Amino acid sequence: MRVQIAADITDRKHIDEVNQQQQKRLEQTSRLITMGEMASSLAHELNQPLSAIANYCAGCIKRMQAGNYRFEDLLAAMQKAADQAERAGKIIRRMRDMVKKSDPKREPISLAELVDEARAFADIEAQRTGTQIVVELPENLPRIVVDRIMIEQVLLNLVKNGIEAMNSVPFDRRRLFIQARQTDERMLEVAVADQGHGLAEEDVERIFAPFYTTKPEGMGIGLAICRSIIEFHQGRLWVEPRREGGTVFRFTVPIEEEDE
Amino acid sequence: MSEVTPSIYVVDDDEAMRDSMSWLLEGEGYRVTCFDSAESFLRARRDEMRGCIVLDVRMPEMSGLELHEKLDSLGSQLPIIFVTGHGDVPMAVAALQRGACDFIEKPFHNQDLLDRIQRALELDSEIAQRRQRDNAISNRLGQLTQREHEVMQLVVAGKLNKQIADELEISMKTVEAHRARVMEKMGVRTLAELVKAVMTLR
Ligand SMILES: Nc1ncnc2c1ncn2[C@@H]1O[C@H](COP(=O)(O)OP(=O)(O)O)[C@@H](O)[C@H]1O
Ligand SMILES: [Mg+2]
Repeated sequence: MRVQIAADITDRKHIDEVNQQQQKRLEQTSRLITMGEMASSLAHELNQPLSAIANYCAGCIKRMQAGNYRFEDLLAAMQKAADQAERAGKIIRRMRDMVKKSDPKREPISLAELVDEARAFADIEAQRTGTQIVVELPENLPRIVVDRIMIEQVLLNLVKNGIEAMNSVPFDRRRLFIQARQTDERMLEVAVADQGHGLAEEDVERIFAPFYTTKPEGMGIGLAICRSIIEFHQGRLWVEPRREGGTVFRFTVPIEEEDE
Repeated sequence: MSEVTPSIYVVDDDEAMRDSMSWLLEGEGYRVTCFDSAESFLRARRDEMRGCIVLDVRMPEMSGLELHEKLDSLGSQLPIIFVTGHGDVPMAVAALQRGACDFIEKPFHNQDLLDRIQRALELDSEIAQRRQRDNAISNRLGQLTQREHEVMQLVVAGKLNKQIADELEISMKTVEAHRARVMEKMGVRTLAELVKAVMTLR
């Protein structure tokens, strides 16, 4: 009898644990989804002031070219364009605030664990496209202090971009590498490397601008969000062409201090 | 007949979009009239309106698509250019399939919009010309007497004067007289012109 009860308890404990884990997963998924949705609705909102600015400017150019304008009219139009730029700025600021307000919880975590969690999502995309994700992490990496959801979001975005960049290379080249190394006593560097179509030298900064995209259905907001997230962690995010073809995105994140 | 000046009707719930669109389009020499909702456009709409509609797909209350449907049911033929945001493209394609004129995705290139407007206005003036021609023809048809009408039907059906005379039981001379008056009233000189005029109405 006693034994039976004990078994029941461990069972229940086990079920609770599984439930808790599932609950956590669910929360993480919903946070990931919310960020994506937020980005898309903000893109919608930004369209209004951006289109208005373009209209005001084009209207001014046309009139000035035709030499047919009243100074006061142009001034008023430019003033309104400036107001719209401010409106756009406010929307961007709100986006930043939302990223911050999503209550970042920085905690020490192992990169390996974080990569595992991000892979759960990335693998779906990888399987669909026949891409192999190769994770090569050195043993004994120190733990990093980050908001895990945010950094998972960054990893996911980079992996997704990498997969998309390889959509027209032969299947046996569709390999994506996730690597890491410690650069100094404060920072860890993570690299996501692909063997895709690569990047022109003049694009290495431009791709981080919000709404820069070369994809027909792209939103051009992924890398912009990634960069805000990494900078929020006092790290850096940049891109380098790979000599063997493709690109490698690198970012740094702070590691746990020794004396903690 | 009073000439209605073509105008571009901008329907958008965003104030800045309306204002900047007017500034842009007026700079190109167009007449622009703005509406802040689908409802307010419907209230102002008249059959003789000419030009085209630049319509925001996303609006609170009645959406651009709903307005399109409503206008269709009212028999409006004003060409519509839908302005869509990211992700609205499937919606816009559905609208195109239901006969909207065109769509453009925000943020758009100004020249793109201007080109589309130009095309829409050309389409509108074709529609208006056709309508005017049809009106003229039906006015003329209305002036024919019962007998003249009967003669015309048979002429257009390719019957010879002799056959027409037999069928209507009148003399050849009378047929010829009717026939001449039909041509005169319809404002045509040849049989081919007459056939064409009657065909366009069908
Ligand atoms: N791994 C990569 N290889 C080559 N180009 C890339 C890669 N990742 C991003 N880019 C370029 O940067 C642009 C912006 O990327 P991103 O901000 O994620 O937006 P999106 O993926 O919606 O286009 C992409 O459209 C693409 O041109
Ligand atoms: Mg992307």
